[in-house]
Amino acid sequence: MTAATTNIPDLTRRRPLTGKQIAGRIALYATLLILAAFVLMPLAVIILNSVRFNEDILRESFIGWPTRLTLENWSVAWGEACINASCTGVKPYFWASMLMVVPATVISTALGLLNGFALTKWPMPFAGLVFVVITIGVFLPPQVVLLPWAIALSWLGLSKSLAGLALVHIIQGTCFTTLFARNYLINLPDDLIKAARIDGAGFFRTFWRIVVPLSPPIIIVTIIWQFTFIWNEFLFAVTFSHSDFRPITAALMSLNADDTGVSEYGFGSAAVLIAAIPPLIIYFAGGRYFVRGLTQGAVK
Amino acid sequence: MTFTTRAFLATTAATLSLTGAAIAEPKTNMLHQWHSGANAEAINVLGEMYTAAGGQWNQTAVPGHTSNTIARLRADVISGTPPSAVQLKGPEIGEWANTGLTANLNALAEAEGWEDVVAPELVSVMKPHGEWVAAPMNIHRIDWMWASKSAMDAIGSPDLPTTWAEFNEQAAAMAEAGIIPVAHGGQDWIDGTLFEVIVQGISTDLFREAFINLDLDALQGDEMAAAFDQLRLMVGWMDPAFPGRGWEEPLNMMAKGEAGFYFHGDWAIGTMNAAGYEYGVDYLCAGAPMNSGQPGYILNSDSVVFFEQSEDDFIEGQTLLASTIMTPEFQKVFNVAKGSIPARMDVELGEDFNPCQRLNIEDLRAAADAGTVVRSMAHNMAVPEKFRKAMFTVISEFINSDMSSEDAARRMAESVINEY
Repeated sequence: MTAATTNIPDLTRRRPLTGKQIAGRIALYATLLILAAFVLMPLAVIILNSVRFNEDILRESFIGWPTRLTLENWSVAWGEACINASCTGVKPYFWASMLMVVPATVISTALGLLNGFALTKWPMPFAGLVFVVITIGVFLPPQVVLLPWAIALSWLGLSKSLAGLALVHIIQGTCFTTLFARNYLINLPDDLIKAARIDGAGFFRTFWRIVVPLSPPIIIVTIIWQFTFIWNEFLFAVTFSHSDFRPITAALMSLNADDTGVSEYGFGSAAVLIAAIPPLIIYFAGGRYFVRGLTQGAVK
Repeated sequence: MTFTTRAFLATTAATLSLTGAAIAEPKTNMLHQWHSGANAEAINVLGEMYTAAGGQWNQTAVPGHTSNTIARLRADVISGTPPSAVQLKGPEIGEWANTGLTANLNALAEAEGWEDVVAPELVSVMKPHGEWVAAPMNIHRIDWMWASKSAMDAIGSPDLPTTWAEFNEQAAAMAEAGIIPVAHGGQDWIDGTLFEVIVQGISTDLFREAFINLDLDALQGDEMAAAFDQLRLMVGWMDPAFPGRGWEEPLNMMAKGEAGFYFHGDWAIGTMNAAGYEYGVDYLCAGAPMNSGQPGYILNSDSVVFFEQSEDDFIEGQTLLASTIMTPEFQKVFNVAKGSIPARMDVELGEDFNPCQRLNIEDLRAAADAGTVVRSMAHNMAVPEKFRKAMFTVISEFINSDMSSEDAARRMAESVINEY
């Protein structure tokens, strides 16, 4: 220990772990694996049941290994199973979800970004208060707003329609997207905006030319968040849509057998998985940006 | 008969449309709960038959329970647009007939001779005030005893028990042999179903007095306590995992041979067919034990009620729909997969029906002759919902606690009084 340099830890080389540390690592990973298995168990059961014959599920048990495989559940769930007494499978409801979720996601994201820009980078009176009021929407339980929405939709003539449901999600979602966008845009250098204004750019031109090109991380975050949330949402979907053409989450409920009907676990499981696929695709495609975009601005 | 009516309607429609006069085209919108699976497929067959007979078919499915349908129906009636046809059961039919809004199907019933072919116990439900207001689609038997073939073999395969005393002997023998004697699901309606089967087995008079007339003496009498004694015995023979369980799992335990006996309605046949179990190989069936030695029958039925319409199209559509529902063809199609039997007693069941379904018809005829057919309390055929729920609460509490039989009988009466 003569040279001072030896006191500086060499960060480029990993030191071999001691026995104690190895034991700690093993315990850590074992715990994580057990927890992951516990969380993924229901998903595993559903995936297995989607390729089992219903006969086998009924005979053996709901939780079990397939003894023989079938893909028929998937085709029945997609195009043949009876929902609301019309035997069309989940196909029309899947597209109904798409029809409602895509515009609602895009519009609420755009509105959120616009709000965030106006609240942080444009001189406006009571910006702080306005922001607080909008953010209250994030904390309101959905049950509280059910009745006001029902009344509002009937005034607008949008009761029991996909358009009405999309409107509910756009307005409710704008609370979240405004929160995200505002927290991201607050960190944009003011000088950029000032320079644009000096060059004669107005509100929208500044937004379109300066803010939007700098915002992909937060745009991706909001799109993932909104798409997943609106796609998976059930309470509004059931309340504000017509039973003939409703989002897939609401339609799944009618796949359950009535009290004395035969339980169809096989294609029921496949239908659940079909409903889960789009948000999963979105998440896997943009998941890397998700964490990055959310934490950006948090660390300066 | 049906055929002529339909032919008549079709020819009239055809002739009139040729003349180009403004004529009624039979239309319907049927409100029902059969939204999924084989039931939905059967209703779609009804739609196809209706369309083939020249009608315009529309349906609205209300998932969930009778209460959802009734909420929907109330809203429609209040807004002055009652649906033309609604799936309803038992006392509900009478209650809606009291409003004077139901349609009168007497002419059609007369022309097609419904009175002679529908089970007598059902006729009184379909015409609460001497007018036919509804058409029955099926008959479910509630008091079925399902027995595992292998469990019966294990105790030396005696005949299935016909009295509760015999049943108790065989159940005890199964317990000796390490088989769960009684499979049971743990939900209130399943508890209620088991208990009404026991009460019918103890005495048909007790069933009528207690569950149809709501007679307080019968509800808290010695015979009711005896029924609870029998239930207590059977709870002792259940496996400890039953609370909260649905009805399909215990059915599976019985068919697999883990359990010996299972008491449940005949929709069990639908699930046993779907699971590939076979009569005589995996399971046996018989009417539940009756201490009187007479055949017994607890009846449940799904039916469609018709509401008065103002438009000619819909009035004609009702006649056509009721007529289609009552055809032997539809009655067969609708019931083969459900495990129930046609509401018409003159339909011959073909080979595609299960042996238990054929036995069902024989037993119904025998019980009708003996006067032991009763309407199910547990399945909304006997008393209004509030009394049914009140009794369910007592029965389930009895099963899940150590309440004495006398207390339970007294509380049955109390719970009914509280709902008046």
